[in-house]
Amino acid sequence: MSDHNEKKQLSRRDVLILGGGSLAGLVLGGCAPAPAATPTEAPAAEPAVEPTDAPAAAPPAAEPVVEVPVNLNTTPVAYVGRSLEHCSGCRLCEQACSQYHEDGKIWPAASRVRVHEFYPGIEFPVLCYQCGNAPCADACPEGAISINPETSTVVFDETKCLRTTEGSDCTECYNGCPGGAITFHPVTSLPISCDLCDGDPQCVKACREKVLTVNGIRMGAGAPEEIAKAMRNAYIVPGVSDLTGTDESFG
Amino acid sequence: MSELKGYAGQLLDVDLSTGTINKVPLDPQLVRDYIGGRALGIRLIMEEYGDNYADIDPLGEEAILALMTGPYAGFGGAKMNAVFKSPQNGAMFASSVSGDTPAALKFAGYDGIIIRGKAKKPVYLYIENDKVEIREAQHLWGLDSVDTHNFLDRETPNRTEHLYIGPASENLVKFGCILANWYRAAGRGGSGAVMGSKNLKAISIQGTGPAPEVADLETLTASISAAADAGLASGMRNYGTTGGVYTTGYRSSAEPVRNWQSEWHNETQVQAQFFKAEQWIRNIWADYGCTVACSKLGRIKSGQYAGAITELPDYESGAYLGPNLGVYDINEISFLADLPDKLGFDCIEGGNVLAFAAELYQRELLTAEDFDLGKDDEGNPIVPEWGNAKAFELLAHKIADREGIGDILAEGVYPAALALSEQLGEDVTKYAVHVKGIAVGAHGVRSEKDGLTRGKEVAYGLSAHGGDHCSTVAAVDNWLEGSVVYDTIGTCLFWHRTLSAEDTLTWLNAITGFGITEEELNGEMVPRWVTMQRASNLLAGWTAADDRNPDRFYEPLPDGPDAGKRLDPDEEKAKMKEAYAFRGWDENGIPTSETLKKYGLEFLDAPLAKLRG
Repeated sequence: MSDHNEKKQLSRRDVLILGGGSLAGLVLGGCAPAPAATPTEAPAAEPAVEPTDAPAAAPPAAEPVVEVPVNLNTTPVAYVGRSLEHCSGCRLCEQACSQYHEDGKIWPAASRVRVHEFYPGIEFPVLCYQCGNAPCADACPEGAISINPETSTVVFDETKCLRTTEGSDCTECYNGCPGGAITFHPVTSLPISCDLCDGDPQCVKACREKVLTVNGIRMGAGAPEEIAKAMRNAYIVPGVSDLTGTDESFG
Repeated sequence: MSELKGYAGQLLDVDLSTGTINKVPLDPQLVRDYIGGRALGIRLIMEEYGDNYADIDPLGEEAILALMTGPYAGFGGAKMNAVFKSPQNGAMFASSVSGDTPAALKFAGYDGIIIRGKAKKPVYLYIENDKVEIREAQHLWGLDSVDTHNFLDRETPNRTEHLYIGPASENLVKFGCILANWYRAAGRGGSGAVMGSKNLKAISIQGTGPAPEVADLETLTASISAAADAGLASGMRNYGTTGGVYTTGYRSSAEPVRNWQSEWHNETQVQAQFFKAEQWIRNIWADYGCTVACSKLGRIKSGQYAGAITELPDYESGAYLGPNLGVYDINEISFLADLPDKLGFDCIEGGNVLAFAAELYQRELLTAEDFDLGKDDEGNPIVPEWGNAKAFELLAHKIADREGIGDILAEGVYPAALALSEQLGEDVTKYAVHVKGIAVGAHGVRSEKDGLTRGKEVAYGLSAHGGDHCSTVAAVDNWLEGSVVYDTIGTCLFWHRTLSAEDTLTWLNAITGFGITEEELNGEMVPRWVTMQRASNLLAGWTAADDRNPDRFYEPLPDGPDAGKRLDPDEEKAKMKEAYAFRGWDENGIPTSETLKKYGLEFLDAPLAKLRG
């Protein structure tokens, strides 16, 4: 397992730039404190289209760019990629994931991929992105988490997990994951995360928006709240608009 | 636990007066006959009201508000229905609202919620699976609907779904609505006013259980997958329903223009592509399980409302708060169309009553002083002239706050017309474009070019929902009322338009195992549901004389390619008689004893017998 404390300088090569969609200049925080992704160095979010009064022929939107920093010490065998712009929030991925892992049951709360919606219209899937650094494993006080070297997926040893102890509400693995990708099963309460469905990710098949893809766009490791905020900031005009009426209501 | 497949098998029954919370099992036979959503909700409430139906005050402590999912909830369906006796017209109403809430409710273990009584102070209901709490909501009272959602999000676990009301419903605006997911609404009939009358600000649902066991998992999974593929081909995916703001006027001559004084316009700047290019920042936004994704999030970039975040607008709100108010600036349309959602009232009744008031100003029956909207930058009074967005914005707030003339308009267009007729000493009800006290949807009948109103004479007049365009009747020999089936099974008209009726039933039967055929559905079940709801209209005091179109539709269209077209009242009466006969209703439109018996509605025979005389 790699040592996640040994942070390497994020090189240009590690920053994947992708076009398309409606977000401009959206930069997400990387896995842990990756220098290039700190807010101070991130370019300020600007609206994609300048205000215009022209009734027809609006100027073509500047080709939006979303920079997703990837902080990898290893190259995973496979992963589910995620593009942020196009998620509709339909949650078909959650349905498919739970059907695969829960004996055919539709059970979003037990899904390994969860779709978050912190602001209206801004929804996106959150799931393990096989970071290779495995900060969740390092965070586990019982050593119950390891990485399968063949699939690069996270493996939980349920016999060691503290949550099997009655009354335990240990959340160290969840806290340790910078992407918020570990959830707890609503019935067993044990940690769960993406296991790539034995090599055939069901969420990818279910995703009609092509947001989730095998070995596609590497996702950033921002916490879901941060991703949502960054996306929201790309939409608002500072000092003029908020995504909704009252900024305070978002805390 | 339940022998029913695909259902949670129980309702949550909450009495806000006493704080009593019960879990009530569903009667399997009743569910087989009424399925869920609209039909089951109406049946449960009407049976309980029984002979007292007419005496129940829709905003009284004795009124019941049912929030009903259908079998589709959790299995791809994203709709549930608010079911209640309408404070607008006294008939039973079922108003559907989409979002993630229906699925959450089923995952929490309930098929519906029955709300009774009235809380002493503002509360909200918090449901986390088995755990149900009535929580204080004083801190939410007065917040607009968007802020209400955001505050609820903050004090509940992640992925908790909410149903809530805005300030209009708190102030008992009769057409206040229940909202969800920021921009979704159980818009018609006044569901929010009922909720407000109970001091219930919101219902928050955290459901973490699995969907219940179904009859045929394999077929269901295939149905969901096939529908997801089909949804991608929907015409609603690119532009939602925004396109209608131009095309329903220009192509169909069926759009409300200046309070329906016209139904045609050629204002090319309101075409959907301009909303998309100028405003939309999220082009694909869907509810649970849906790939049609007809919703779009927008941001206004220029003009007096620059900076505002809006949705679409969809056709109803865009037409009613746009051309119907003489407003053709897309930024102003989007802002105004968004306002009813924020304030929490029905955009159709709201846009209709705003235009009604503006027509009275146009006809010099009401004056600037009557409106009292303040002064503009140059010191001139702000008046509701056609196209003056600012005036309509201010008037909308007056309605929500029930301030000044807003207090009269807050009653809905028909009661407002009655009150103003008395006040002005002149009959102005002819300017109120409604059917049975419900403003008609943004779909005219005179041109015969609008698909939703192809029943022309009987489309609105025969509908159990009055002016609701989603429950229109297509022909005299057709029982179906718009989306009554989708409202009942708990799914969306737009999605199922991409599927065949057979696909929809295959899906329903895979969930429930009911084995319902098209023949049974259309020949027995829909007639049962429609007849039952008809009875509620009659018990509310509406008669055959009210089975008609708004006065305005008997006037000729003044302009456009369909100029001169109008409805003939005599022809309408003849068609109505034909429809009554087809449905087994007597010449006064009252279902006969035999008809009630045929559809298992004997419980309505005694109350209707009094009306038969």
